[in-house]
Amino acid sequence: MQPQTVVVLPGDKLPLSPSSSQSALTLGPGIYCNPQTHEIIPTQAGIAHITHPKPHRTQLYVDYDSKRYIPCVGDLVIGCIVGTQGGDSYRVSLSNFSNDVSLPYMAFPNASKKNRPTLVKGDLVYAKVASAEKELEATLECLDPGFGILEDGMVLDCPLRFARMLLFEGDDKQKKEGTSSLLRLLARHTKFEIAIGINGKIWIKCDTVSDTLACYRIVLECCKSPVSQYDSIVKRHFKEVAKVVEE
Amino acid sequence: MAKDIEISNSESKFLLEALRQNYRLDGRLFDQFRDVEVTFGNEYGDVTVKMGDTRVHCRISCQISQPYEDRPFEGLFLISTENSPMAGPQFENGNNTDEDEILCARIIEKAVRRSGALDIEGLCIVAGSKCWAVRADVHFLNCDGGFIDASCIAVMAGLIHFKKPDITVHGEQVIIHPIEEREPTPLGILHIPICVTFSFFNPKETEENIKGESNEEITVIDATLKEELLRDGVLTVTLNKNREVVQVSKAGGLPMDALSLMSCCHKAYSITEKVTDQIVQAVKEDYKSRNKYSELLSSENAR
Repeated sequence: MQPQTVVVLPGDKLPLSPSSSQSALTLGPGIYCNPQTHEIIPTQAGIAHITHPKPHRTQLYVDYDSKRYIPCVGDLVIGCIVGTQGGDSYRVSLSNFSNDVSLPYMAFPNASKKNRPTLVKGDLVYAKVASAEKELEATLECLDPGFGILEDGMVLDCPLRFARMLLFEGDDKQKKEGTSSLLRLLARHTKFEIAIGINGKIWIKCDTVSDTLACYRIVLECCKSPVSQYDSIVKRHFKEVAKVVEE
Repeated sequence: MAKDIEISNSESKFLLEALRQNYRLDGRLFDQFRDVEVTFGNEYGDVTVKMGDTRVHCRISCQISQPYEDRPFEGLFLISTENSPMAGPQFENGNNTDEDEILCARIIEKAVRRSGALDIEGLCIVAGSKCWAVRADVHFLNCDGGFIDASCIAVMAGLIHFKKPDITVHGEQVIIHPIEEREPTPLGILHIPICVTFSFFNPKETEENIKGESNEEITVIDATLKEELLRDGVLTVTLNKNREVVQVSKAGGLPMDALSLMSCCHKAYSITEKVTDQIVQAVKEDYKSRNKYSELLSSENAR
């Protein structure tokens, strides 16, 4: 069966084919199943994707844009340490004005009761969401290599959709190698390290402040612009930054 | 208690390092004011000011009232600045006791009301019994720093643009002509104060600032929200086009010397000049678009 995409509004009827009613349904973000009537409706406005990865299996989700992050298990996020709690975990803020989440001391590689991680208030961490119950505080973990503290660099806020695009762009196998994504465009101008948080935070670090600044401005502007303009935005900002150095 | 914005160590370190190398995050120069955009609404005295991402709306209104007993020849003028979570979740609804908010309200009050920018004697209708009470309501729509500067521009642009209903006085009897009947009259504006806010950053230790030989403090004009959160000191000067200092406010923060204060005032003057012209021009253009037939209707004409 062909994958379907359709624009939906909250409360719309979903165009599910009768055969899919017999197959197993997997509900993703933006779809709600009424617990009383078992009716399936979208609760967000956006593009509904209905795919059939295997016969007798249907996946349903709405791709919508938002700026507020709600933790989900397995998400890669960037958080800021805001304190400690009870002597066995850090309190981490994933986005301003949202509830804090916790990061246990034991969720670091080689951690033990005696060997504690040495993060301080204000440090940035790259972490994975370990548990996210709706009615409970979410927890993070930094167990695998690559996670942990992000030193120096600069962090910026972006819409969640943009962060998703940047993070999962490489996974999209349908895209040809030749298509130039933002990261490839940046790599043509400078060497950089980047960490992308699904919570709408992007951390960038280059060797020089001017390059980091150029990347910062580029990503901020690209959040609001169509993909076709990325090339000119990248070029313009690197030129602007270089001009100040000369002066 | 409203939640605060979390700023990570990386961000503060990077911002300061960028300032040391003469960079600002938004690409402006240190003494560059954001571009001001003034738009007027349908009614007189309805103005929205936009500076970058900061947006402030001001509405001027008036009604007949009784003057204070000790000042029978003066009208009333009131400015209300109320922060709401619309500008940002860091603002609590109805909480006017926050330190920053009080400072902001007081500076605008000092710049506009106490400096006598509005001719309140011209608001008197019948001495001791009837006068106009003019009210400026400032609404903060979006916060990206520079609230004081933006709201001062908004209040002044609103006052210049506003027109109060025309009146005729027969002894004690006052007739207010509705706007539909007779063209309303503008307010008397004596001068146009413009606030310019400077933010100071200390790239070195505190000791260096107090005992050090050289002045290395960094001064930037019209800080954005991020810069505002990380600054060490703030100075607001209010000037007008007549080269007068209307008010200076430097409440604590990083110690600074008189010479840098003077240079700040000079920088502020050029901005004041530019912004004043822009406001006057904007009001003129708005009136022009309203009165397309004014030349035909003019009763005074050259003989």
